[in-house]
Amino acid sequence: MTELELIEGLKRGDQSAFRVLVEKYQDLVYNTALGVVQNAPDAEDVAQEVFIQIFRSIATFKSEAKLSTWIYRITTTRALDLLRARKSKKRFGLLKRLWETEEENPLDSIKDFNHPGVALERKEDAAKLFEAIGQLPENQKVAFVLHKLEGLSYQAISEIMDNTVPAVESLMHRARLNLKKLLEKKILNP
Amino acid sequence: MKHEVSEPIDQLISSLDQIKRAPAPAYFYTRLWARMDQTSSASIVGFQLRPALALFAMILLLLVNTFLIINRTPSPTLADVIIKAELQHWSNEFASNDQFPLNESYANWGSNK
Repeated sequence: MTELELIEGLKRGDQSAFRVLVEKYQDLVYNTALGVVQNAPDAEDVAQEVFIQIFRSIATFKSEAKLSTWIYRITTTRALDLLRARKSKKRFGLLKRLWETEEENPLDSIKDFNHPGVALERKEDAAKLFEAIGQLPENQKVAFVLHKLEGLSYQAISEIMDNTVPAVESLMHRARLNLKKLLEKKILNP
Repeated sequence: MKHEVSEPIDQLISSLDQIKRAPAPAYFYTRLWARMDQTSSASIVGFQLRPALALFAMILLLLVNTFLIINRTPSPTLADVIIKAELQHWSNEFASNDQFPLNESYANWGSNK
């Protein structure tokens, strides 16, 4: 099934076309979401929401863009939405803790996150790096995740982020600088 | 110091260099379809319940209106207000006449004449 046939099938509400789409893109969506939210159940939740949104809004998809670009865009937006919700929950949690004795940090799941695609001997280093990635500003985080985890070129990332290639290069440069600072702090003050 | 730290940092940053894509969990499609099914059936139930809800709201409104109509105190008409005012006026006049002894009032009545 070509991409065009797939899109046409989806626009007709064809369930088999939807199944093909999910099977083709589920790893892409899940891996991207996992890189941003750094928690497996949340990443699955985001991935499900992404496919539901695709199913509902496929009529708005313009065939000039690549389907994968559109899917990446939806995924990163949804993943960032979840992070924002988590942050506001954390703020509310701080207030709640004034009345409650039980301590629970919604960002605890980010610490010690292990990506299943990292080689065993690098797991410890990768966990530290992921913790630092989690502290990057949203745009830098998305650019870094798409480049490092999905292996996308700056050109592809610029299309997903609706930006220019030099802007993505700048984002990546700043992301690296910030990561170095964050990791330096972590090494000097473990 | 900077040089001592930069090496492990570079090592940390390169830890994602040969990372493999994380596969979606098993039975992802089944769970996704179940969720979509649940969402759509919930919205269908909501849609089907809408006429019933509208009917319920209408009946409730009718009942409230009926209750209010039955229990309302009738507002006085203009004629009622006039009669009440006249009665009040007579009552006041009668009360003011009662303040004087009967004989005296007769005497005064005669002298006044």
